[in-house]
Amino acid sequence: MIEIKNVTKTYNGKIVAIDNLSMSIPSGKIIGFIGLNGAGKTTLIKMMTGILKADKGTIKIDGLDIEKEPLKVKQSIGYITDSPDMFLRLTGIEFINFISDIYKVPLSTRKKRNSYLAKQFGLEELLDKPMQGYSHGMRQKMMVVAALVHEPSVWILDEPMIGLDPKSAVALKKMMHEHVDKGNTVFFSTHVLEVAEKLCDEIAIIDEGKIIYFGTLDDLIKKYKKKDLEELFLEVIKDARHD
Amino acid sequence: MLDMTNYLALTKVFLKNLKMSKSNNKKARRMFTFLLIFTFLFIIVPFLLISSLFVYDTTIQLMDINYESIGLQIMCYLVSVFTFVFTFPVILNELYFSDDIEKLIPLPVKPVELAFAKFTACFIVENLVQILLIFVSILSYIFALRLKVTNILLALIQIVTLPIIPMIYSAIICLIIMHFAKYIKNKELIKRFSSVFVVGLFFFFFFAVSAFKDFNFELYLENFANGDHRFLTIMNYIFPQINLFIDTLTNQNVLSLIIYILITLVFILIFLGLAKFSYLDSVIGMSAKDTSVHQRSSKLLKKLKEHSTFKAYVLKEFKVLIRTPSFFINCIIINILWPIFAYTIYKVGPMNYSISKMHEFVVTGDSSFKIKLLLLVTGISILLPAMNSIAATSFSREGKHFSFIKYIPVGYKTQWLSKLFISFIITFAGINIYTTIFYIMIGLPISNIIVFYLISFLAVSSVCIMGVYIDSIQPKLIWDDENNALRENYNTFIAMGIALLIFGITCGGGYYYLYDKLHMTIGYISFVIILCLLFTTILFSLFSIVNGTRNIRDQEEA
Repeated sequence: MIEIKNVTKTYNGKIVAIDNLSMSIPSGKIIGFIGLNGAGKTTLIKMMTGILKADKGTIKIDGLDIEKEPLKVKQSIGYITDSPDMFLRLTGIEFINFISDIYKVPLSTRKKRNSYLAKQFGLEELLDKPMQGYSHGMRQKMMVVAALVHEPSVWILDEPMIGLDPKSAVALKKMMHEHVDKGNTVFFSTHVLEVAEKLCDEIAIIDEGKIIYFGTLDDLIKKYKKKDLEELFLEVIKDARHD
Repeated sequence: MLDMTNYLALTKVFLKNLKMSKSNNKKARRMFTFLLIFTFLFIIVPFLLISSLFVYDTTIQLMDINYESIGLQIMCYLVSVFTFVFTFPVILNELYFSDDIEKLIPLPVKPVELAFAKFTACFIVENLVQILLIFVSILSYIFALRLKVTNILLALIQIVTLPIIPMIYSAIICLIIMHFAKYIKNKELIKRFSSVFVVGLFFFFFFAVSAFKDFNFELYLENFANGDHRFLTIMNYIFPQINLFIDTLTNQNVLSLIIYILITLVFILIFLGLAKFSYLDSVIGMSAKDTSVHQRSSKLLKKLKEHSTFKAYVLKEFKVLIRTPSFFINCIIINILWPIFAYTIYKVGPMNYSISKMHEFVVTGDSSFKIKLLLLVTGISILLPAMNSIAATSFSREGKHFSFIKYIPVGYKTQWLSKLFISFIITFAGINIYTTIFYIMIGLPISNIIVFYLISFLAVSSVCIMGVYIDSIQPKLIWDDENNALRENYNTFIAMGIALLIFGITCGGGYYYLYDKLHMTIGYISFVIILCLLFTTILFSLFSIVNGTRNIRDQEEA
């Protein structure tokens, strides 16, 4: 469960990235987070993960305030960043082990979990090589494995499908469903509306730092009577700006 | 050959990439500016003063025999050699290994425009200190000869372009090496080979300096007055632009200026010709292909080991420092090669004893020798942690992945201490492995060795703490390849300035005040140095760990 209350974030005291935003993301659901470039998606995700500090308001993950108990909150989050090219001088196995160490994953669990994840994403043949030599997609897969190795209750994923091959994308989608079936939360940003349509229980649309829609896609389609997702999305934004 | 619009646009972009961005935090920005000014006053100004005094003295001394320009000439040659050696790794990296290459190649610009724009950006960024040095040397020369200050005007273009030819030498060597290296195909392997070449170049430079074992400047001038001009003749062949520049400056000779411009243009054209011929081929010839046999993941997973968070973080830092060629060359290699620097200074300096002589000093209890040894250990332990830049680039090295520090469930203090520990352990080991061998060779008593270890421990600790703190104020997070994390990073410059100040107070004060004036014994001097360093370490720890972790908490990405 993620609770965001009256959160505001400005850059240099001038540019308002998030504007008094409130949202409650329930457990047991996959939530797609959609918005135009610069709408505030990444800023909000970064505040939810502790990378950025909100100027005002509170963010609670599983009932814990990120400002007051940052380490506990971070331990319960699995976060995939939008740039997968980190620690490229480490081999795949060294990277996974490093992440397992900092998330304090017991040895037996990490062996089982890593073995399972490496198999799911077809990384078995690459683990002993420096990530410098991996393709973009392979690096993205490593980020997915690293984010999930400690079995976090809340998954926060920034554009997780970019660079994944169809097999890995299917594996990740399946894992998302399994995760929410256990009563956990998946919150992910995407630009691909078809992915949101097929995968999400609900969607949140952000524009100019405000949530302009939060609910099911079906309700939105019924309200606007439009089947083309792009047109629908643009219509919602147009309406919100008009209001 | 060149589309000037493309060339200028590319140069502008590359220059922006190379520069350090300012922090959003006003307080951090103020602190950073203060430290920068302080360091400029403590490093650059004394360095410029010494150089200008050298030129002034030599000009005055040689005026009577009509060789008044020798001082300025020697300074220009030194600047040229320095530029050649130290810009080589920069040009190599910028032309071939920066991350933007793959994005730039598909653009509709000629490879030669890319290469020249990169060269120009390096030239502008790398030569500020050299140009300042030439400028103050010229002022001294003009004052010594009582020339008109307006003489500078005609030579202005030469002052700012003097390092072009040495840099073109470096660039041409890079182009030739990489032209043949393309057949290796593996980018990582080429990087490692080029690292070895750069290390070899540094070796050559320092051995060449240490070859001045019996160098006596007075004797050199005497020989010079008697017609021995070998050194200058060789240097004139290598750097033909310098004599022309001095002639323009001294005699206001327009013809010399024109020939200077023509020679520089010829060098630039040679570089452009070679770049046109080989740059694109060499760049696209490289890849990070790896065809070695892979191990089964099941086997690898069985070998996994569990570490504490602190140990895991330190190990990660160590692997990144060792395996990244730019970090290895700039941060690690100096800890291995510092004895060569020390040997060079020792050879050039007045204290040139054999090991058996030093053993004799130890046996007879020669206090003067022991004091010098004590100050040498103190000096190295203060300067090396600043020179290797490990501490002062702790956070800068994270670059665009700085956010990793923020979202992992590891306290900022633990991460701060891990970065401090890795910089401490590499430096302390680098110093004390060699000094221990040296202590054993000269038969130093164990009591002295323990005191020296303690001093080294405190000195390395205090400078490392200071370095990590400085980098936490305003880390350089925007860079497109690892080399740029270290270049133009003022934090390393500031750390060096403060380390020099500590070095001056501890070693200068220790020798000239405690030993020479108060005639204290080595025991008392050691005690005073330990107290000073202990005080500094405690002060730095109290101030920086709390403030440093707060800086990191408040730092908002690149």
